[in-house]
Amino acid sequence: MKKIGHNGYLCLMLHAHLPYVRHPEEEYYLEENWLYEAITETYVPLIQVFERLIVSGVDFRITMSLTPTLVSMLQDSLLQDRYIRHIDKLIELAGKEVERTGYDSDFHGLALMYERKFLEAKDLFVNECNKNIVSAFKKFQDMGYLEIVGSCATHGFLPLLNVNPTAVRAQIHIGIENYIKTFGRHPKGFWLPECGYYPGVDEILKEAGIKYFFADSHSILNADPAPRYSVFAPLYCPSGVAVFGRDWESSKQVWSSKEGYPGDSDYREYYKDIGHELDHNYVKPYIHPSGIRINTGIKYWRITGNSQHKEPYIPDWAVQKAAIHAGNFMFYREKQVEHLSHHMDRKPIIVAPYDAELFGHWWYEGPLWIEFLAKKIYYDQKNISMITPGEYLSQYPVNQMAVPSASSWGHKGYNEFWVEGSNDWLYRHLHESAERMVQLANRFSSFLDKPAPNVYKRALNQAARELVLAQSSDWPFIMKTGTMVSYAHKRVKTHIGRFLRIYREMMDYSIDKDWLKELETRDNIFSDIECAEFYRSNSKKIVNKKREAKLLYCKR
Amino acid sequence: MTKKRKLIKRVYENGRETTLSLVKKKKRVSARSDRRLARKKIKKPVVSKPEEAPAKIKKPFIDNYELPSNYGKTGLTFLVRDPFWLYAYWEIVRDDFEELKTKISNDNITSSKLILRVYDITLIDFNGNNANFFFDIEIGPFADSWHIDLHHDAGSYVGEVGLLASNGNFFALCRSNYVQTPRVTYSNRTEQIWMEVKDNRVMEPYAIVKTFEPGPDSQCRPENSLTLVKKKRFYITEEEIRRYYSNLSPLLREIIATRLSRFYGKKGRKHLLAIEGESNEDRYTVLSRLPKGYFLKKIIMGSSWDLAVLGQDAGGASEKNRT
Repeated sequence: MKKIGHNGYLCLMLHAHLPYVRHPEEEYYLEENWLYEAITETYVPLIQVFERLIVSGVDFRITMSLTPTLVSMLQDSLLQDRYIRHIDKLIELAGKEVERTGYDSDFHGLALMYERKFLEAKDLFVNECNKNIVSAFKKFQDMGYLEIVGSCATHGFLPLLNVNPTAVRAQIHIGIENYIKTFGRHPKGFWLPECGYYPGVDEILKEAGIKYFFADSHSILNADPAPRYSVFAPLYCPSGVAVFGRDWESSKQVWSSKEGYPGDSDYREYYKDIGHELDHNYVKPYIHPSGIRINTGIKYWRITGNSQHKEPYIPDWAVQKAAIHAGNFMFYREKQVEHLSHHMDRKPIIVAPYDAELFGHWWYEGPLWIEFLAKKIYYDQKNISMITPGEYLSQYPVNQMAVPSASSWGHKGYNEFWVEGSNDWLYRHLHESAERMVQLANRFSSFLDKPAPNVYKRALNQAARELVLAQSSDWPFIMKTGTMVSYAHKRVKTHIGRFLRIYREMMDYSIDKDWLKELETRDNIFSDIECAEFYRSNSKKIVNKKREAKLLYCKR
Repeated sequence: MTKKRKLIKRVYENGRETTLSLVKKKKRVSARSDRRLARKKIKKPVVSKPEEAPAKIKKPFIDNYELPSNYGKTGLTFLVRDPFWLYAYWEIVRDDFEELKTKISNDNITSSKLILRVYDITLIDFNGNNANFFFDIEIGPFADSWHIDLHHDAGSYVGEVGLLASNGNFFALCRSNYVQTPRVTYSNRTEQIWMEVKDNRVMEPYAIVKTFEPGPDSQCRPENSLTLVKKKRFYITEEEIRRYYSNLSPLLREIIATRLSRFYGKKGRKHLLAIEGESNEDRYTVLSRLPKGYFLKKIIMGSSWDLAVLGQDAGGASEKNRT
């Protein structure tokens, strides 16, 4: 968006990620609901917002990351079918609710709203996107409104995996390979999982052809030498990869649980769901078959206040608030830009990254807020405009060079959330497994060169898949937060256990083919990528990429 | 006749049932000879019956794993938790430990302690005994991991697990990886190096070099009297910039070492970097590589790298003698 007269830019970055949860062995799996809820409440509403904006002629720019695990789940036919089953059930429940609340003026309108939204979601999912909603995001990227950045294969937290650089390299390269297969182009940018940066990771990103990535504010502020323009302009790492720092003001306005917008009293309350509230027999068909009450997604209350007392949700008020908050957000960005433009020789960029699931899932009115924000920025003012980091870099190719400080966007800003009492035991297994994976890939590398599928090649690739699945940062995260801990434990143990068994069997030259086949159907992530390739020390793919990256450095 | 003989021989060798079925399949033998063959009593050698193919029962998919308690490898690993904490885990294989014990004289072995020694190697090329300082943690025989509290941020560390004998001698079992903790404050260096990346090409980074001349009021306030007369870009090679940054972090150093050997070989330009800053006439040092009439002020940064402020002297070449 190149409007003349504005003084600065806003880069809204939405990071969409869910851990890989797919259990073909069971008909219903509680944790698969994470995906279904996110589709209904976040991804579909976001697509609707983007469509509405485009139809109404609003020129907007949003940067997004769709992690390879999420993309793989959204493209998996089993999960797609299960989502349809899920949304059908919800539509049925919403229909019942419409009937039940027939004479209740507070809730009848809400029940109708939910029914309509579920029907719309199903329509969009099945008819418009042909069950594959990634295609919709791809379409927006091809139209130039979205810039989708790549991410690690399974959201591995790189600062804690870098004991074994090959593991980091594989996470990055598999992620990019998946991106290319999905979006048909090479990613310009990269989302480091949890913004986990350490000096040196940019070298690997450069090898992989990445131009920029994101880091938290203090990573830039504490960079060496000190940055001239704080987080309001990108830095180049010595490798030539740009890094954009998070603006703390705009993040606090949205993220903060106390002062942030999502906590407003008119917004919908997340924690009161009819799955937990209504009569057990009534909701039984719509909760977990074993009778565990879960969130259905139908929630009738607004946040109201800090107490337990809640008032019914009034959508009109919430819409009004979302508009006010979007205006407020924009106002502060304008003031920020106005102030900054006195101190800078270039237009400042304000980078505001958020978890995409915040919008819609946690903050129900979030997608609407984005819509208002984009519209207001386009129509109501001339100070700021939206931009993607790629566009900013092509406008300002000269930037300061410095080494950012190691950091993450987790609690306290470093790695503590992922390595502390509840989850530190994990790393010895991850590191040892990564080392063994390298050992396997080198020992059996001749099998990887054969074009025809053979059992050793299959076993190698499956071992790599098990390893990357175990490396996901979500498992230590869940262990630390304390909800669903047993599931995280189970997943880590399963993947490492499976990996070690493949290792043992390969070393003994006695691969159980039936077991391997079963494994391939269960953990089928990246089934079209030769994951083991990236663990070889003489991997042709990586060597070629390094050579290409080297050629790019040119002398005056 | 020969056919028949052959058949009988095969029956002897392979057992009756199998041969018959084979013969039937091939339809070489007529039904009559088949019957005759069946009637004939042949003394069968003891042949184990071919086992019946097991009905296809799907093997149960056993998938309950417990993680191994050890991997049979002595080793120590450090992870950075935050600027003031490290996490260390280790494994000691019994044989290695026993072997180590043999190195220690008998008097000292009873009172020896199993310790984790943490070396602070900030800005040092560690060779085993030149650490800035080190501290010991007694870990005992049962612990296998430790959260280590550090004294300062922005440090580099390496650790060793081993036995500390009562006479103070330390016998290391294994050494850890190198780690670097981040800084918690702003960097106190403010030089600006700029770089252009355009159309996938990384242009040589540069610093803007400002040339100052003493101003009119140089007599009363010399530090404020300098006036800017010239700005010039000073280009820095990739190798120089990498070496310069590699002093900051041992992690970077490793990466750079491999890159340098691959792409550059050992010959490189002189360590030289120009930065923007104030000049102070008294301590100029002239380096030969500079264009005529320029000179440098040396600032020591890190261990071996020199940062320099470039200035132009009025007298030109004659000023070189003022080193």
